[in-house]
Amino acid sequence: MNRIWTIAWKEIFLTYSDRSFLLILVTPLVLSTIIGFAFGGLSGNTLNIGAIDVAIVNLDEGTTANNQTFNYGTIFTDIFIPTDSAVTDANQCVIDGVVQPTEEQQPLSEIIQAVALISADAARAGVDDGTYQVAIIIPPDFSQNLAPVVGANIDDTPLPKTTLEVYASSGDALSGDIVRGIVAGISQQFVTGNVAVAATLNTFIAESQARPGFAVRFLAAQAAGTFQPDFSCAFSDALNTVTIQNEPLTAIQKQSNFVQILVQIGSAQALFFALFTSLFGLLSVYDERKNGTLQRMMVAPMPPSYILVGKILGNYLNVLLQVVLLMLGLTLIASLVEGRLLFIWGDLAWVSLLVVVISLSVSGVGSLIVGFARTQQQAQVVGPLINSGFAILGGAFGFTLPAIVGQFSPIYWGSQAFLSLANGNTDIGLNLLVLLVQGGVMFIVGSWLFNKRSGI
Amino acid sequence: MQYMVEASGLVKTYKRPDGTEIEAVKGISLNIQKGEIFSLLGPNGAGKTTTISMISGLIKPSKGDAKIGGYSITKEAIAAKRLMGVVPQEIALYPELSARRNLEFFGQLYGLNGKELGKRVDEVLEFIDLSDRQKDRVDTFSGGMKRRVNIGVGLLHRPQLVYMDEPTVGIDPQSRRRILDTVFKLRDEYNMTVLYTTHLMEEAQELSNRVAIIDHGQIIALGTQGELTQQVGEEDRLLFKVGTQTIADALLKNVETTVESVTRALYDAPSQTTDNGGETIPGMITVFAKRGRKALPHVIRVLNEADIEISSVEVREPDLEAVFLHLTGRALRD
Repeated sequence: MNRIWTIAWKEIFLTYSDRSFLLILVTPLVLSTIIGFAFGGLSGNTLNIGAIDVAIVNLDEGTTANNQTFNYGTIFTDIFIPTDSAVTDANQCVIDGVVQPTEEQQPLSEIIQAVALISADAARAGVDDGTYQVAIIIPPDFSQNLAPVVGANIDDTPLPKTTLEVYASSGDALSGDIVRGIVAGISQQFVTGNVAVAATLNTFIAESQARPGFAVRFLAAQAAGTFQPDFSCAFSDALNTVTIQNEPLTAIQKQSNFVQILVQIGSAQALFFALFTSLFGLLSVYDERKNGTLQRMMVAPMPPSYILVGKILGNYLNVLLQVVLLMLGLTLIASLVEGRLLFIWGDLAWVSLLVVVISLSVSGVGSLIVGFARTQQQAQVVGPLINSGFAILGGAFGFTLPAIVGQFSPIYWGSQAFLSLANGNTDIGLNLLVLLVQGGVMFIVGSWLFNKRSGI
Repeated sequence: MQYMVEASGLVKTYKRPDGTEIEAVKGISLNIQKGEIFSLLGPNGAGKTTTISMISGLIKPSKGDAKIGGYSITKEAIAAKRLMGVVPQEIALYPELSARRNLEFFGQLYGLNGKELGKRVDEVLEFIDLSDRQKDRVDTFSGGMKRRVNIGVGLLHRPQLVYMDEPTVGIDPQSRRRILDTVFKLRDEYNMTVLYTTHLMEEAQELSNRVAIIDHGQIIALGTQGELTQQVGEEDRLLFKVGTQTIADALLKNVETTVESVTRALYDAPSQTTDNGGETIPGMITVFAKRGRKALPHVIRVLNEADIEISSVEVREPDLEAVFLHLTGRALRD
């Protein structure tokens, strides 16, 4: 084992003592900083992202309480997909003939581009194939569970329990988080609104019991159909106390756009350049063969597999170290720009786990390319092309491609996971799994091919 | 007798891209005694490096096996490799590392660690006379210094057997001399066995206890230098420059008949060169003798008795070049 470490350590030492390697370390930092300044600026807390594609499936069957029909699913859907009149009235609510002032806010349609679907399965499939970023599925008993409990003591009434499904791709955790935040806000409003409706109706009932005359008029109006209270304002997005704009969605959104871009582009750039380290690290076996150091290792009293394992381990550690250094560099840049010490990556334990897994994936790509290439020259030409392809798919250059295409790149899964963690969301299980499987397969197949090519 | 190396029937076959096979080594067998310097002499491409690569376990023989100190290189490779140090033909070092770091790295691969490793590195640096440059990067060294570090790496774990594959290629005469002295030192002071490959006849002659001449993947002659030259029946040549005197045939006959081991005596009369205004080339008596040095004083006595003035004498022993020429019909450097 000592000898494997000796070889691995030699790989690391040679890589990091090479002055040209400094370029590989500095370039992603510079690029990310430039992109951060160009697109993020230095101020502003609004997340500058495009509209999130959302599919809404309303399965709500509605309910009737106290002769009033409620369908919260429809109200919910209307908030996301407003009708023309709803759009007109979006910023005002009339109560007793008085237009209520509302906060000026960013319309939901600017953040979310929603379409209504009938099938929950179709919506989930749409998320899986990248058509939508998030699907919201409203269950059939949504209204039934939420309907105001009239006649009971409000304080003793248990809060309604219902489940809204927000189905998001783990590869695009940020969109999922944003939509979850909005859904939570609106749902909260339903609960609050229901309490208000129930309290109003309870007041009517109490008043009727106390004053028989009022009760007669109330019952007559109800029988004549003239008692048609409009509670929709209680559920209007315009009166939402938990507003979309002001809601502190996640930790990272408290930072400036610059920091957010630094996390997303910086991590993708770090992985992109780590792909090169992996590629050229393994290609060094050809140089070692040419100058005889490989043969010298092979005549040492140890199994030849030690050399292979040592080189691959060294390459893996090189990648890991590079990713860690770049993350520290990006942290330093963010701290300098923000003027305070700022750890931009989120939970340290999860970040560490992600770095370990993503490094496996990145070094797997390197060994696969070197393993498949027939010659050193072929790998030197094809390798950078493949790496660049992964970088484009993974969004390392500041633009993203549809998830269905992007998910073929480990950079996509890695950078999205970094963003999720920076976002305070540790739900990166799928990302880790994909990277582990993707990386593991490439690593094993690549190492096997690399062994054959290197002739060790 | 216990041999350090016992190679039997080593064959190495390679496949060409067109699918046909080429036999680079065709059944080499040899034994090397402990403590001897054994040279593999042959022209470039003869199969020396392939042979040494099989014996050192770098490549697997297609057929045959070799034992190092009793361990089979194919079946007990690790035990066999522990006994040997390898000095490859190329400078197999990391140029960006210092001499010391190179030695430490390869020492660790041989299982040396900690203080023991440090001690051995110090010893080797002293042995190769590079203690004062130990912290300098190898790529700042001269060719000769690099060669010395290259040798040092092979000696670090105190092997019983050292393979040296053309270690003097491409270096200046002074560095070459130093390396040849090192080889002697390894045998004489450290009792190491040295397997040395070269295409330089002079090196093989100077260094070796025994020589195997290899050509086209086969050993065509093996033995001490004397045995080899006797094998091909070459005789020593005694060359006497005798100025412009006239030499009678009777004198030459006298030399042939009276001096033991002399087989023939020839005379080349003085001549004039046609260029540079006609320089005179002195006359030369050439005497062929099976034991030239023994015959020399007797021939001189006969010539003195005949009042022949000798201006210079040269004894040319039959050399490996002549043996190679005799066996292959080609010069070693062809």
